[in-house]
Amino acid sequence: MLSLYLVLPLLTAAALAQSTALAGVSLFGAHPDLVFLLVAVWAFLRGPIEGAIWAFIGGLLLDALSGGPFGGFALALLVAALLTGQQWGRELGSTAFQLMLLVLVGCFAFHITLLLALTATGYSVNWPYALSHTAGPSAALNALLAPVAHLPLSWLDRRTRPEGITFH
Amino acid sequence: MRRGTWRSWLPLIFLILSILLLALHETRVLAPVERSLQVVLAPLQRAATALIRDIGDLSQTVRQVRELRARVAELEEQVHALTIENVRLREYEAEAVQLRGLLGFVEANPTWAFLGADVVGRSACIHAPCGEVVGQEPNPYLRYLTINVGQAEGVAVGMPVVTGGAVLVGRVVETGLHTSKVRLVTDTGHSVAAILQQSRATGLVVGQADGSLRMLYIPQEESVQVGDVVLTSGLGGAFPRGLVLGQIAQVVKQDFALFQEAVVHPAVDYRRVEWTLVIRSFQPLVQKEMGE
Repeated sequence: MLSLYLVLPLLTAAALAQSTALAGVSLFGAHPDLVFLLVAVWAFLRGPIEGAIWAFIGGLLLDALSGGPFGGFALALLVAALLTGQQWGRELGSTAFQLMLLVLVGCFAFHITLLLALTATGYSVNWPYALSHTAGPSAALNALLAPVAHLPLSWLDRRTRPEGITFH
Repeated sequence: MRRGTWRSWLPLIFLILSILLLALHETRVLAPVERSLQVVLAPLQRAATALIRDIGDLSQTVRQVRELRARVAELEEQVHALTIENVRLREYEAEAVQLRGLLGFVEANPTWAFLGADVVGRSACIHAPCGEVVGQEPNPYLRYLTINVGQAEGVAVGMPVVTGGAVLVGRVVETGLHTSKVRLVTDTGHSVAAILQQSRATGLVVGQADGSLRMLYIPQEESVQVGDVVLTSGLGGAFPRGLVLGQIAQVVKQDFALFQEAVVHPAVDYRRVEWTLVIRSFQPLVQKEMGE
């Protein structure tokens, strides 16, 4: 049974890793977004509702570790979870291909929402550069990494599927 | 059935909550909550950073490699210290020339009353709290650092943060009890009034989206050379004068433009900064900057 006692440490560890070890990792401008990957893959496996729960918790943790506007990550991850948790695109091919496609779209939407939140709260954003040098490459990288994140999370999904997430 | 109905509203509830959080963040109502979260997460973040450093160290198992690395680091430190010392001496030399000029002006006008003053005050960092970098910015569009000194150590918003003696890192934009968030000079839109050490030409050093620095608004008639050292000018009162920003890497001069620009190579790799000093005794005149 998967409870918040497991989700919270998992997402906390992912957020800490993202703000320490992974913060400096950049491949042609692409950043691996670990919390996003967990949220997106979980939403893919369990649907938008459980994805939204993970997104909100993970988003608040990243917001607490970020110097940006509080709530920005939560909003961006929610949008991503709602997109990747939908049924569309599931008839296109293998599970890995569907996942990569959904994560690609979800990650791009995640970055756009993040940029919109920054713009709305008065931060200076260079949109053309951000979209072409960070959002685009990051969406591609995270789509490639999604099958890797899918392995442990699908195992977790199989172990906990009957009961689902609980609030105790 | 009822449980299912309730759960189906969760995404919408969370969406509304997120937007509400963003709005409340803007009104600063959430500051105590954000500070409390920082108090909880900062030790975890520090432990994670320490763990990652330890793992990195373990990978270097060959003793000789370690000794060589230590020797290289020692020599690099010496070179760095000597470079900083050289920069300071050049700055003193330039200052002496200017003061000599001022003295000549005073002597030429003996009937006038003068009061000697700096553009802004620069205090020696005797009481500078030393901060260890415990976290990097998870948002790829922002450039911040989290350091492990905060309100309890006397850190306040606006204080400049330096590393490696006189290299400017950024300024404190948010303080927790024992942590502070530092906006790096390379953050997009972050601007610092600057001066070239050799030519004394002034301009504005602005952080770029790709993490580099660009010096803008340099008058066309000024001579700018690749390799010129870029320092803070102190104009505007946001930063002390004479802190090192970097070196000119490329000059962009167009005949039809009003000003020339230059690409500045930062003095340090901000992603690898581990220790910083907060200049606590400096009182910034400008608290609210563009983009904050």
